[in-house]
Amino acid sequence: MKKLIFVILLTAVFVASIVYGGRLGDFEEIESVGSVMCLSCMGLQQ
Amino acid sequence: MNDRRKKQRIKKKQRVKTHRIGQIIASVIQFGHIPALWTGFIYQGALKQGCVPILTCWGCPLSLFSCPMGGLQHFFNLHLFPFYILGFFGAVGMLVGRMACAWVCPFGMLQDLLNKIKSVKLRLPEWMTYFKYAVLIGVAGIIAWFTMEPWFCKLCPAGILEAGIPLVSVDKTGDIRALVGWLFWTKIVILAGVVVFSIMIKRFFCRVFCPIGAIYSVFNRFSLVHFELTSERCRNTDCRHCEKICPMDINVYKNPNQKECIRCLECVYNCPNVAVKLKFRKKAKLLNT
Repeated sequence: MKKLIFVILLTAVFVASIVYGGRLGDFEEIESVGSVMCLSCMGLQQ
Repeated sequence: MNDRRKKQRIKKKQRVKTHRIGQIIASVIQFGHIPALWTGFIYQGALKQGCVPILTCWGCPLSLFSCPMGGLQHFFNLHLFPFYILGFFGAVGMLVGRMACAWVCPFGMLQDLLNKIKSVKLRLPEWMTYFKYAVLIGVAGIIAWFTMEPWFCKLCPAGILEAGIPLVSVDKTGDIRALVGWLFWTKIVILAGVVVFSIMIKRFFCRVFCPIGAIYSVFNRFSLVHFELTSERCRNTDCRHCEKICPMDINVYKNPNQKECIRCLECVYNCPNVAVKLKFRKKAKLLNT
């Protein structure tokens, strides 16, 4: 039972971290960087 | 017990690996940007705000979602704390541990399929599985922070397979092809190495290099989804059937919740004694051998 409470509490902390990140603009940041061709991913150099 | 074994054998003959179905469905959803097949442009939309819980390249033209490891490094490059990405990894890890590696990851599926090719099969020494933590902390963490470059992405074999090779191949203008240099060929060599070793060693990349697997592996001991081993049922530890069918070569009969377990459930389905069960947050009984 203690472990279950531990899991729930820690999960809640992580979900809160996602929400807080969202409020800071993390979602938009990820969208903007993910919407351009990633040269590093492709192994290309400028 | 005999009836149970017979049922188990019949079930085994009829059963398609369920995590394979999950991998296929997840791959179709992840690589669902069909217009890219004729336009060649990557997806730009709100779905890119979401990450998939596995290693996938957001530079792939077919990709609808973002790569959490790319996102993590992006925040490190900007010297910002990645609240969203760490929260995402943590929430997924706390709920299912490393389950996403087995059920959702297309790169994991590729390795599973490669390992079906008949060849010399090798067993990976356990110490090598700790190398992925060095990749996570060193390459995707410290080096990304100080160089302000996503160095894991620069070396990631999934990136060259899903984005580099397709985009260079269909490049009509020659603009992309002009940027091919030593890094591109380095990634090709890394990909070739991963392919060759994956044929000989089960899930070679996942076990040795994957930084996302490294993160989730920490949560395997605590996650809500958990395995329980009934030691009374696992009488014959010499059978080692669970170990033989395990895609990660784990000694399930010793500890079913090891850091390398990807919760594919093959041991649950195939144990002749039905000794391994999937549970939600109960302390597993371990068989000491």
